[in-house]
Amino acid sequence: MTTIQVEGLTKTFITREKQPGLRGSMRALFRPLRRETPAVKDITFTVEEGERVAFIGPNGAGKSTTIKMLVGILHPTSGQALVLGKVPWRERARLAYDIGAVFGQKSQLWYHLPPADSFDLLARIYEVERATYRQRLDYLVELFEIGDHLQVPVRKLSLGERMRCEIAASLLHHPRILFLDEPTIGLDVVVKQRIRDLILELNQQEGVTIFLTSHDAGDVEVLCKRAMVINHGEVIYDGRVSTLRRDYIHAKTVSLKLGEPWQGFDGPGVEVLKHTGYGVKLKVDTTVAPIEEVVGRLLAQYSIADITVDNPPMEEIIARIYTRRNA
Amino acid sequence: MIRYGFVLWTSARQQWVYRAELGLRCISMVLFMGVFMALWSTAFGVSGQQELAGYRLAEMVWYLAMTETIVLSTSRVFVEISEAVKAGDLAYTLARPLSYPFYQLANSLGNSAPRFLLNLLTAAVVVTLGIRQVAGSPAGLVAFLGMATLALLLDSLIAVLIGLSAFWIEEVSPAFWIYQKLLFTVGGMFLPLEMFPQWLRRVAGWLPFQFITYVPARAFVAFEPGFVLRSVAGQVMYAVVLVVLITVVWQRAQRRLVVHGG
Repeated sequence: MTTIQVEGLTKTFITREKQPGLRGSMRALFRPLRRETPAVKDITFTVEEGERVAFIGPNGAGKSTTIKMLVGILHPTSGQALVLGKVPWRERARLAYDIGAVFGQKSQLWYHLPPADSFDLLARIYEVERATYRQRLDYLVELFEIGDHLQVPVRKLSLGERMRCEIAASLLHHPRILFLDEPTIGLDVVVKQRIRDLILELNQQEGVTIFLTSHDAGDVEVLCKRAMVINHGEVIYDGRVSTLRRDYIHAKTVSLKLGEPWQGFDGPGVEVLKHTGYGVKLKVDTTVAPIEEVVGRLLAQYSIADITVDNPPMEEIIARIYTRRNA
Repeated sequence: MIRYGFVLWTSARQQWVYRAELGLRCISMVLFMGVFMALWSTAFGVSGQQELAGYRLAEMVWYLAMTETIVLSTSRVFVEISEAVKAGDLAYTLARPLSYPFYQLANSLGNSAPRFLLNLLTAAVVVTLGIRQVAGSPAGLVAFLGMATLALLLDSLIAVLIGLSAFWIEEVSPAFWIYQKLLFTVGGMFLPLEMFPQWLRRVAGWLPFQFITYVPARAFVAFEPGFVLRSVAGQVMYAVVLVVLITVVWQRAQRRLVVHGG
């Protein structure tokens, strides 16, 4: 069953520009300069029920704009979309009962009260029956492991704990689709992983469709089967994550903090991006040298105080996609 | 409807978290009443009269206690709303199946109600200890409670309106400042309307401000059924007007939100 259907969706923002100085202010008052900023250009895709889809791209690519249109809080300039059979911006209030939304930068929990109170309030707002609510809450508390945090005021929770509560809160009314806009932003690696795992489990247990945006390619690798890469408002890749990884993510960056001076590394596919003092940043071409092997040899060769292995930045993945396309 | 009631309740409970601040607010009530009791005692003493504009000293003091109780309980929800507008957060509130302004109205009332009760108690204690008289009747008290509720409703509606104006004007605090000063003056907070010159009294009688401060306090110290009925009618009328205004303003604001994305 198709849960999301998007066709030719476009959004162009019109902003009023003001030029600097008094002259500029006066002019802006009488004849404002209008600038058109295209945020989303003619995108088309379909999402089936139970799918886990990642919508990734660099900052400003149009991810948040797209989600806002799908949730109904932004009107498109042109194009169509159907979410659970409804046009989001026309039937926003009705649609709200069937979808959940977590916006990474915006909290929906009352800051000075414990999450339990916010949950109660949300249950009322979404008109969830008391009995259903109790069961649902127990299930979510156990799944997200937030039992210990329920009675602690939200302002005292760590970002990771808060995020788990936020996601739980968005699921109280048993939505069929969960929209997550940058849910792991600002979280450290371990916490990110945990949240990804929880969302995965939720999807597997309940079949909730997951639509996730992120500028972190790591969110994609673990959590989603399908990825859509968006850049400058256009979808430049729509396919399986495994294919994306195979075709475009060929390198990893390794950041090291050494306990001794750097003396170089002998091996193909390893490039030193920079090194200052005891810090070194390497780029490893994983098609040539498997990452485990490189890391293993580094650990054997040097005394290492800290090591981080990262995916290439989004920009690089996108650059590769463009190169491939144009080739 | 019940959902908004729950919002109100949650907001009221949050006041308990701020109880230290509430305690400090009580002190301002004590100071205010202390100063004005002294002021009016002197004024009455100097004038040599038992009544000024129809008010005995005790009635004057209790009048002030009541207006101050209301004013100290007024809403600051416009701050929350205007900041949400400026931060661009408002778009997200549309994702919930609730009407934002009425959500904020419930929030505001939930915020004002506990403060009102606390202020009333504090004022009553301070004044009774201060002048050892109670210048009001049980009927007056009942009328006061009912009308003060309507008054706080009006105040919350105005606060929501001020908050929403952030869509069009950058800084809303001047608007609030003007509103507050109007409450102090033509609202009859410091001086009951009986002390105004006739022309000003007539003008003030039509404005919404006196329905927030003057009429509940007056009903307490000088209960009179006709006055109460007329005043309540006025309060209700203004409440309806404000609700309509908020609905219209919000529709415009929403249009901006969904087109410009907050």
